[in-house]
Amino acid sequence: MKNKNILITLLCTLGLTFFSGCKKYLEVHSDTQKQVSNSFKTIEDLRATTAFLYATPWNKFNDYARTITEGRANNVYVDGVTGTISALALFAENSNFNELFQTWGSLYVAVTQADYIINDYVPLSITNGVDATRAKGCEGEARFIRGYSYWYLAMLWHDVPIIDDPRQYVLNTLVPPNSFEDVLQYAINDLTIAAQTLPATDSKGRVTKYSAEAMLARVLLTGADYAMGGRFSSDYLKRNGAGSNAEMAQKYFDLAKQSCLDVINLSSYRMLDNYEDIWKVQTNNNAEVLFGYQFLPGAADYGLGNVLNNLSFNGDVTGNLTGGSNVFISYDLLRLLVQDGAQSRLRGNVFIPGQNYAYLGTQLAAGSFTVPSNSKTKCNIKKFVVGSNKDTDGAAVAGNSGLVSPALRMSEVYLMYAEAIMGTGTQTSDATALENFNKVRKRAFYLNPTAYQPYTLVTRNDLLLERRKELFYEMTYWPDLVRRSFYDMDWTLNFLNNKLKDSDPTTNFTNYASYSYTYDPPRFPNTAGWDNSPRVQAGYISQQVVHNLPAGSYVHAIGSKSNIWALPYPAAEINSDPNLNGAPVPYKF
Amino acid sequence: MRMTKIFTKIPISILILLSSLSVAAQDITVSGRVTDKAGGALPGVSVSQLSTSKGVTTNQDGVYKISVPPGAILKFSSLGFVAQLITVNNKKVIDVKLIADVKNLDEVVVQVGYSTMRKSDLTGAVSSIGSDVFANSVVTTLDQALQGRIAGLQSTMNSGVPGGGSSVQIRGVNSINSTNEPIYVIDGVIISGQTGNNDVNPLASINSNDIASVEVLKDASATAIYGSQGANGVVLITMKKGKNAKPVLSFNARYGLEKLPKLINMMNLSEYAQHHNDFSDVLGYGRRADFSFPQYLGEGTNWQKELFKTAPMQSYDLSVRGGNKESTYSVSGGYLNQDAIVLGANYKRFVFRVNMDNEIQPWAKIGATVNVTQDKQSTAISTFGAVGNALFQSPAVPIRNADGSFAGPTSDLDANTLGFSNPVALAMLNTRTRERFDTRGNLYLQLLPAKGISFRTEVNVDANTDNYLQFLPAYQFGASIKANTENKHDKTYNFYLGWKNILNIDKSFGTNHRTSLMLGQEMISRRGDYLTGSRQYGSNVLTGLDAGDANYATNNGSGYNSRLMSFFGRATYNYKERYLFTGTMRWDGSSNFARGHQWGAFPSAAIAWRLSEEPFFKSLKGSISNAKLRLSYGIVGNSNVAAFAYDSNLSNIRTNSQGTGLQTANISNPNLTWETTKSWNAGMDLTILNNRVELVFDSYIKKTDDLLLRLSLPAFTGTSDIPGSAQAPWYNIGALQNKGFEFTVNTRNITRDNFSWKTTAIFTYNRNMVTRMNTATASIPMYDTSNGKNIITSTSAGSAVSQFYGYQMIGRINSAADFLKDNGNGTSTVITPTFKYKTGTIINNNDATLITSTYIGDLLFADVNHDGIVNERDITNIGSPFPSFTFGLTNSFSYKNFDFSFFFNGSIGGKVFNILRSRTDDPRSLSNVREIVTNYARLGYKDGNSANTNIWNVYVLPGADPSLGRMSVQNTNNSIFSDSYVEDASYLRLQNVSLGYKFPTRLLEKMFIKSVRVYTNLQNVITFSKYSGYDPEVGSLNGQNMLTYGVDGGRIPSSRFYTFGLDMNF
Repeated sequence: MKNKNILITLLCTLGLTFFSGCKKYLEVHSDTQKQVSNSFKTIEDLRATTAFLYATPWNKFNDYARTITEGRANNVYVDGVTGTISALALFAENSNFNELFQTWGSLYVAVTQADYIINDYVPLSITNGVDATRAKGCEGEARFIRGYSYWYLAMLWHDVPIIDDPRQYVLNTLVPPNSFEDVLQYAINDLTIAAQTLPATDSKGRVTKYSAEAMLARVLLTGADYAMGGRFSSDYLKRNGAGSNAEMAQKYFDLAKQSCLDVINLSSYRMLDNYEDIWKVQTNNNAEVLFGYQFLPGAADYGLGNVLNNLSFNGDVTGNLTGGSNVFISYDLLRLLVQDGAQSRLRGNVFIPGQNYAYLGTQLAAGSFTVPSNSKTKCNIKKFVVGSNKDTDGAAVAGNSGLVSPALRMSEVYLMYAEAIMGTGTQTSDATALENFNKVRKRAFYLNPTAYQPYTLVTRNDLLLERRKELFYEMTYWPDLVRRSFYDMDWTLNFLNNKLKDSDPTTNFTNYASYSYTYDPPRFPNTAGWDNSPRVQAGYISQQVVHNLPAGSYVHAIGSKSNIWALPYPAAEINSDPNLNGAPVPYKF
Repeated sequence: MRMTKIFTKIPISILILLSSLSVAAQDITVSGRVTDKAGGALPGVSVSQLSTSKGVTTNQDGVYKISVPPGAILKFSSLGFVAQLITVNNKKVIDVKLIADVKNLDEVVVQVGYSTMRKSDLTGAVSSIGSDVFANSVVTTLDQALQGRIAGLQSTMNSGVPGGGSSVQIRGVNSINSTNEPIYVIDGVIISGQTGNNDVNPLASINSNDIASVEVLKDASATAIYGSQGANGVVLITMKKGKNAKPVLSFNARYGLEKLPKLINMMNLSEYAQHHNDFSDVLGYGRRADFSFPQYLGEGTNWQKELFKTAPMQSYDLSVRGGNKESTYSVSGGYLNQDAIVLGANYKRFVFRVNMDNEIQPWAKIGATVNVTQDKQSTAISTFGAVGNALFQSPAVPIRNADGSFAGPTSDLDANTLGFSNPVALAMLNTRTRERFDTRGNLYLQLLPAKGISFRTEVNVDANTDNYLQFLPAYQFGASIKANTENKHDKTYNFYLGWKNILNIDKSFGTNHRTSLMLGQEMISRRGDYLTGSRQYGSNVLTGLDAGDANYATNNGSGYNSRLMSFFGRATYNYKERYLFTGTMRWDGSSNFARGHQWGAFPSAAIAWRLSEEPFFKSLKGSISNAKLRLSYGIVGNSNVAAFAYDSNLSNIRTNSQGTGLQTANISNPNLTWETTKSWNAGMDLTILNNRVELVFDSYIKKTDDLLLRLSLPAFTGTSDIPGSAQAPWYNIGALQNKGFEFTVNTRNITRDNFSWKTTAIFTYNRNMVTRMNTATASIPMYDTSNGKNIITSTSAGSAVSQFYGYQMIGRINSAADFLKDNGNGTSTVITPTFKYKTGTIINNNDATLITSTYIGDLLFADVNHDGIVNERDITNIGSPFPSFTFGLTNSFSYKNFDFSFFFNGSIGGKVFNILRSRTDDPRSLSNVREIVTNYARLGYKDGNSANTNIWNVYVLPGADPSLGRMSVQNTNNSIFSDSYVEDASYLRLQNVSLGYKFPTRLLEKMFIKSVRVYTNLQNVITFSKYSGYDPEVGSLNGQNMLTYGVDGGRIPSSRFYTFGLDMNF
């Protein structure tokens, strides 16, 4: 019995000692993730948060947004009409298309991740003693990303909610969209601040002051077009010190011109000699790229890869990393590229039968890839296809080409400069405008320079066509059409409905959506490569896109019969925020 | 009981005197053998002389020897048997057969959490099942045995793969984002029923042959003692222990065969080729050259038959249990090897268990248990892809080429766009194995310092590792190509450490007042980490990670760490066996919340009134032996949120040459705290007709408040599932309730010497309702991305959680009059809205765009909000996965040495959202489709001229299936998710039939065998259901998430299972 008492006393003592440690017991800290409250004491933490903005948020966007923009603009054609690309091309999309949700969601991931940096992390770092200029530089990066994202949101959905701080909407998700002009203004503000705070140079892959100026030019030109259509509200004009839309347009053209000039004259960005070289892993972040999605070469991590190797002609090109794709260039665009005669640009954009690519298919017995003739009727996209693991020095793996997707290029800056100079006119023969415009054209003829002829006069249509060819599959042609519609809706409608074919003798603006064709130069040498009988597929008819709602209407296009060049909001988003369907509201600046 | 009273009243000295006197008279030695009804020896039976303290117990052979006066009366008694009184009358040999008793309530002891209680003292809702249930049903994991056998408990298989996961709910869905699984308490270790994976079952580490009994705690009075962990109910599992008897060696062997109970009627090659040609014609493509003569193509490959097979199962168990007065032990080992019905899938398990209890002093006991499990689950094809692979694959792809190599699809379109491959080949090449090792143990010291007082301190440990290996070699089957091998290994390590100290005091005051008090303290720490690595470009035969190319390596890791500290107590009071009271209290502190929000208090109280013990009830006692009314109320909690959800975290992401990037990982909520469930329970226990009928009835209301909800926010908050998203915050928002009733009826219909018939029926009724959400219009949508991004379920205030969501199909346009009114001038007015046309729109009858927008043969959907157009705002609730009620019915018979039982279970009123049909029933699909798609809506022309596409000239030809649309060039939403895919999932299933035979004991005794039973068992024998898919029992689409419950995305169905078994005892 004595033992028993000793034991019990012992246990009680043990128990008491232990109870005193209770409070400590429940104190647990994460071993795997930094917590905001004890971070941002050095510039490295802040730079790490901005480094994140370059890859992951663009993982889905890089794929799905291309489907939307290039499909919608009839730049691509898809065999097997069950896919979503043909529905987009025929204005028959549905709000439950995953492309819509992924694109919308990706842009808002970028916006909100930038929000946290701008609202919290930069001020916190400065408070913690981090060098203010460098911290502000990081804010510039975040603002660049946010401005870039809002431009796409505005071009695709027109009116969208401006999310300053996502935490405000945690308990109230019924948010109406903000009006298009305010989204534009918001992007302009972000990019203007970014251009002021970003450094002139930074390590490879990070955006600079000039990236911001180039992107700002894009947004300013959009604003100028909107003003040319007389669409800005009086509030907007007043806020921006313009007496009229015309004045606003000129102001924006001037600002855009200045931005482009800064980039052209002051930065070290320049075009590569050969158009094809831009889309090689070996030239990732080359001198032409002002901003690119920084996918990781050789990485298999989810969310860090570039899937676009899947556009490949066949498995030989990629060493079977992917098979052959069913996505082809459209009849209309291929004809433009072929007629143009710029060999470098044609090869850089499209796999043409008979062409040899010395740097693709190096793993093959032949040591290179020659596009076979008599194998397919339509032409696969070459741009973004980087080849096999061997071709890319190990960068390309299954599901990831390792290519940094160029998202803002120097050649666009030259074209924007010409556009800004043309301004509200319909053509220009201004010498510097021509110089910059021709610079882009000349480069496209790198492989056949003798065929190159400089333009002595550039029209609005020339600019649009040049952008379509130069920036194929780079998600700009659909926004270009939307921009055009701001001030010339009739032209846009006629183009989309393929009504321009008779009135335009050069047939440069045909729009045979989902038009089947065969282009195979070795096979049809006598008809310039074309099969004699291009045909519309049975069941397809020319489009009947209409736009019959009054200006200012906020109804978003669902199918072909309604208004404004805006995509339907994703069904999932409408479900969680029915107010998106309501009238857009002004943003309080 | 009465005996005890007499004893206490007669002074002990007199008793001793009396007994010694009687010894002095001429005692005789009586001996004999005590057996059960079947003649099996009964050891440990107490044989005592009535009215004396003299007594012995029978030995392991049931033999006893006692000296008593010739006229003495002997009492033979043993727990679970009806006691017998026999007058010696000078007989020297008295053999006795004891009849099994319906357990006397006063003697049955049940587990109630941290201590035990007499069943008669229970005030809460507790259900038990004994080991006999496990003996009669062949189950791989315990949860399968609970289905249909515990009132109020619903168990659904999430995957038909052996060792695969299931969802178990006790009294409905309590939580929306947090887990709904009960906790399982095994050997004192608290195991969460939660797994994030359909293939993982937390109960896989338990060998059902080791289970002595299972108690399910349902109401708050019973579960509140587990406080924050008891919100979803508690399942207490008592394992078999050794006993004070000669060692018994048991051996069990089983062999079984499993097969797919049903095939879905897909098109054969000839039909598929015809279908393919029809669609090619519509699209204007040329037909496939090899499909020129569909009628001669024959059956082609039936991928269902190739991928599903009859699979064998074998299992062996060996155990020894025994001991003496001071020490008892139990040692057991088991081996199970079960193939799945899916090609290339298998499950193997070893379980080893040792248990020991020692009395080191009369006042001190010490004991320990160790349970070790090793299991290996192999699934060559991913389990979520198996059914899709079997259904959608083209029957035109053969398994093998003429040269014996694996065949594959022939075109890029088939291989890359439609995803055809050769799943049979993949099942042979791919390796996906999950190997787990789990060690669970406890060590305790129990002190008994005085009568009625015990103190127990116990340490519990559960450590497990999970090794997942995925090896996908390179291949080329026709156009289906995988260029590089992938080696991926995941390792998970989990560690549970618990320490608890419990003081129990039982005290009676006088004869009328019995009280008990339990005070306890417990600390639980759970931590673990996860490591994953993968490489590519390795060898095509070596599965190891190091065989891959290090230049293509990825690696990642994560960890968790959570702690719980608790203080708890329970007090009971029993007045005259009539009025019973139980009160419990538990305080829990959880590290998942920020300081200041960590502690929660969870009280409960219950009263019961045993009418049958009242004096006024005496006259009824003959027919009603027990009647008890119970009433309880209590509060339980839930702290299952992501760790550190209260703080803002930054996760680590690789970047392109910028070092490690930081991503804002979540939106924080520092005020996060406990979710609480208040519940009321009213119940009744009734035993009538001479113990032949036992009824347990319970009804309850549970209200969950401050619901822990991971908010579902619009994607514009950056909280979607898109890469780079922050996680939405957790909030204590919203409320939901469950109401219901349940009952169990046990009857002994016939109890003769050599024939008996027993029946158990259970019935469960539950209604779930979300009463409040974060905003009035808030809803939690769940998506499926197999066919666009579609909402499949939605949870919002005013209805039960997880309502199926989609359009309402209202018919089909069989002729223009179904949606148009002819204006007589070549135009028509839209009278029924469609996806493209608003009511009132004027259309041109000859408009060629009609064929790409809305045309004859398109399905019509309801304009729910009456805005004149059908669009995503018309998506609405289209059915509930939850059944109106479920039931189970077991009948057991025994005749001489035979035993026979059959068990039905059923579920009535639930629905299944068969989203697989949006592909298998789509006339526009180029993948294989169901045979009924042959009857899609074909178009006819009134004037016989198919070029006349005037909408009034076109009609749907008779004979079309009413749920199918036309074969259009463009998608016109005929396969959009709608109520036409919602099917009645009511079913009645003959779940189990078993027949056994016990060899007569006499035959065996010479061979030193105590007993032998052989049996055969059929599981999932027949299902009566209108469901068109494989199996109407559809669990959750992903993991155990109750928000995707009842959505059939192609889960592997439960198999039909034939087993033969042998049980031997030595």
